[in-house]
Amino acid sequence: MKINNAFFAFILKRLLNSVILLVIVMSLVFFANRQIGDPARMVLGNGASEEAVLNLRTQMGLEDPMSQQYGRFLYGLATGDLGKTFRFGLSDSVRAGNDANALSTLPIAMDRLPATLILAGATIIFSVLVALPLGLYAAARPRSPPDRAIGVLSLAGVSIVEYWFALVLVLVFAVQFAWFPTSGYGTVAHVVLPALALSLRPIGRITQIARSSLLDEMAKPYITAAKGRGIPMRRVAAVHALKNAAIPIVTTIGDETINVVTGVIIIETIFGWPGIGALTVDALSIRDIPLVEATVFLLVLMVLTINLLVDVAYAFLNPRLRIG
Amino acid sequence: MIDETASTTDDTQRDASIGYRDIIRALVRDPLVLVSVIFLTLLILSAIFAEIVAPMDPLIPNIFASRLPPLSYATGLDGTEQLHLLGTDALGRDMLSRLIFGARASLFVALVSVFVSGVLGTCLGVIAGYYGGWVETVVMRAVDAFMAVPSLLIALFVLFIIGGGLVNMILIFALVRWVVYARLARGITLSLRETQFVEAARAIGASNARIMLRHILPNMISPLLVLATLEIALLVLAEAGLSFLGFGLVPPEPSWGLMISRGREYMREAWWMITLPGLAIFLTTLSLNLIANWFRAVMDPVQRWRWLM
Amino acid sequence: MAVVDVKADMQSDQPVLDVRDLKVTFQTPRGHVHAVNGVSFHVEKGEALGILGESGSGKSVSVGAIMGLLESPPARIEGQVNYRDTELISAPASVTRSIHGDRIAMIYQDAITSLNPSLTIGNQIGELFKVHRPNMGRREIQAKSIELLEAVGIQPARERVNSYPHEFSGGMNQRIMIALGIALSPEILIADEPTTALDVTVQAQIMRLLGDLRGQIDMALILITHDIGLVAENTDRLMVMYGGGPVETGPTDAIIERPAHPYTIGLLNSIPHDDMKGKKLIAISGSPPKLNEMPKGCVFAPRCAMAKDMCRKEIPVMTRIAPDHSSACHFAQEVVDG
Repeated sequence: MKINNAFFAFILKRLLNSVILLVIVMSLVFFANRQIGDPARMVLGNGASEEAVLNLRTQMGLEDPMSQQYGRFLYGLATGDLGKTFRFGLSDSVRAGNDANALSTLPIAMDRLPATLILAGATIIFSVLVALPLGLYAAARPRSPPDRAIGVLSLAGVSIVEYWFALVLVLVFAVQFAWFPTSGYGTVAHVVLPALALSLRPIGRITQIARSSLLDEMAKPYITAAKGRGIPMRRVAAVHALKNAAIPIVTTIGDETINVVTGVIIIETIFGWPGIGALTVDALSIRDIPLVEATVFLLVLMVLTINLLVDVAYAFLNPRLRIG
Repeated sequence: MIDETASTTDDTQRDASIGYRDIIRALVRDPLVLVSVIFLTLLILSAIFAEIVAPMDPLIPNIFASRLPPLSYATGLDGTEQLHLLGTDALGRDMLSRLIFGARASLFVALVSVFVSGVLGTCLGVIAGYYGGWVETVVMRAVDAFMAVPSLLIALFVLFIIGGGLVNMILIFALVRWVVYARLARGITLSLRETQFVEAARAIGASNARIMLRHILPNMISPLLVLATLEIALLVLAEAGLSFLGFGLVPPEPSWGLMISRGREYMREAWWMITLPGLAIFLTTLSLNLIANWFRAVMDPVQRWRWLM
Repeated sequence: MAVVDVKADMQSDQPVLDVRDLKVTFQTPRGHVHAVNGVSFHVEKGEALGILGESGSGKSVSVGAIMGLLESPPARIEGQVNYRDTELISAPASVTRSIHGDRIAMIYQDAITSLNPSLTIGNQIGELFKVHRPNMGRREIQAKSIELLEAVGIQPARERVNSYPHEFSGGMNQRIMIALGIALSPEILIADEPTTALDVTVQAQIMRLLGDLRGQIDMALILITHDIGLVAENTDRLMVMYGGGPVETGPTDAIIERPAHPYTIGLLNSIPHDDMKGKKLIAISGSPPKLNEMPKGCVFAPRCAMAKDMCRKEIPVMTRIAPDHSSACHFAQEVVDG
């Protein structure tokens, strides 16, 4: 396979775009967070004296000019230091001059990454394995009863409220039948219900796109020409049409992976899954700003990485990009 | 092959504009879509006239009638025997009435957000596509940025900063969703900008505003309607999600998302408290998706003839 | 619509392709559309037949039926398409597949969309051999593909065989289409508007290439076009189609010298031509009929300057005005006599 400079230029440009976007998003998060009250007071509680608050504000650097704080934030972003959590009594450790790494928010959030990756990965793999055959099966017999049934079912998949479906799954398969645990983490059985709840939407969307993009391709002149050359139908569909239909399908799989990464926020909360999503909700609810920044950072980073992977896949599938 | 047969045999269908009668005929032939249309019509009507339609007040608790299953009778606060068709919630409030008022909140948020974001996004998209240059660059950069970060994540974070509630939710949805309309409108505008009828309008001295409003905009109504329908469905789901997490509508406002959220606590004892609002959302979004899907197929010149047959 | 019996014109040996009373109907929401309404013609070994008509005349649908490219439903195909001893309309797909692309090949109007954008041209040519000549080895296929590209004038073939269609110009893509068409040395090559999308200079090159190749492999050509100049220069016999059926058939020279149908005259008049001096000018006004709103009598009557009452009532049949020259006009003889 010929890969030339145009390909690398394309990827490099996308990579640069992602980095810029990440910095912009994190900057917006930084400024927004500075608008919602005094972190020092949040740490010390409402009973603290003005003097103690001012003291802590100075220690936390909140009395410095905004430009200086922002500069520090950017430097931290570049070096992977997004501040320290309020949660585990920051005040005590600051007073004690304790700089334990355990308080840094990014490592705390990073610890949760594997759980989220497992859940999102299982969901997407399962979805693709179900959706692709369904979509191709439907495309092979357009407007037939099975095709219509698959069409309605895939619409139903994207119409359902994920967390509601998750709760129904818990009610039926965990409470009623006790086949799976209601919540928790660690075994394969724990993954089943949350992954199932998250997979309905991607299954629906990927099925629809697989079907429609294959049908779109099958209506194009080059397919007619291939049929006219006596190429067997199966080969026409599998070699000619699928190769071109792959581009929208891969794009959709990427989009849905991103949706799953957002979907984990609620689903992890429901299943007590120790991932980034649940941590984000926790951090938001206790207003632990540095921790919020760290989780948002990781979520956005995941999304941008997926986008980048889709771009790479897209470049590989589209010869127009691959060879300039 | 569809293309070739359509173009070589029958130009009539390609040009033929589609009439109301065709649409109604096609609708009758697709019972599922017809049912969806009827369901949504009834839902919207009962949401508008909730005070008249709902059998009881959705907010007044009745602790003597708490968590009654569907089809239960209970003595109301005024001493009369009352039927709770869909049961009651933990505070003894009538589920059916709450669902009807919940429809009002959920649909209001979705419809107004879609309207605001649709108008905003379409205007920006048409302007970007029509004028090009730096206007287009700025708009499309913003679109790319918003597309790159999931809407729900932005909404969650911004609502965390500015707080939940009806107005904030609508503002946030409009902020994050205008981009989809802008992208669509720009694409169509670009394809129309160089066409003969736009050139002709320009030649006879029509103003730019007039060309955009009278010649370009009417050509994107169908795809915009399809997109808006899908977006309503998406926002009904998003409202439910955000309200569940506590960043959306605020109790005691009966919204479907909040009802599920409350019902979760009583999930094991009172299945209807969680099942019914979830079903309401499901049926609403499914109807919207079915209609959008069908409408798109009917409006597609290549596919249209199959649906009109 | 008249059924033309061109069989009488047949020469001693059996034709390679014999199409009899071909009818194609499309089911549409607004009733049935008769796209092809009884077309008969044959192709002799090595000869060039032109099918001339505007879009909507049924010429492309006819070859679509011959090549098995019409989706059914909505299309309903009646009649016979005989390739030697095989009737293609009723034959099972396994049989027609071995003929299409191998014995009867086709090249299309828009080459760039008729080639798969994400396969190299070597892959697309090689696939033909893989499917139709399963005994050929990988090396042999590669060598044959390069040879073919050289034959159609793509240089340097050895390198360009690994290129994708978008890396070629329109004319080059048409050459690749031709390479695909002649790869298995077919007996018949159907060319559907092969030069319409190309520049005038490139058009001439492509037609010259087709002529040369026909000489080399003794291949019959069916040239489908709306361009009367193209058929005049490149075909032996001609069938003029209008509104889903033939209106005039005969040797190309004879038709151009002495057209026997007002429609043919209209087509001839649409291009400036020295030979036409002194001839009566009959311009074609109006537009082709909509296939679902066919006129009652002669399909051409609404646009015909010579139309009389009879033309609006009775469908004309093909009548012979010379041994192998027929016209579907009530007044064919008068038209010829001018």
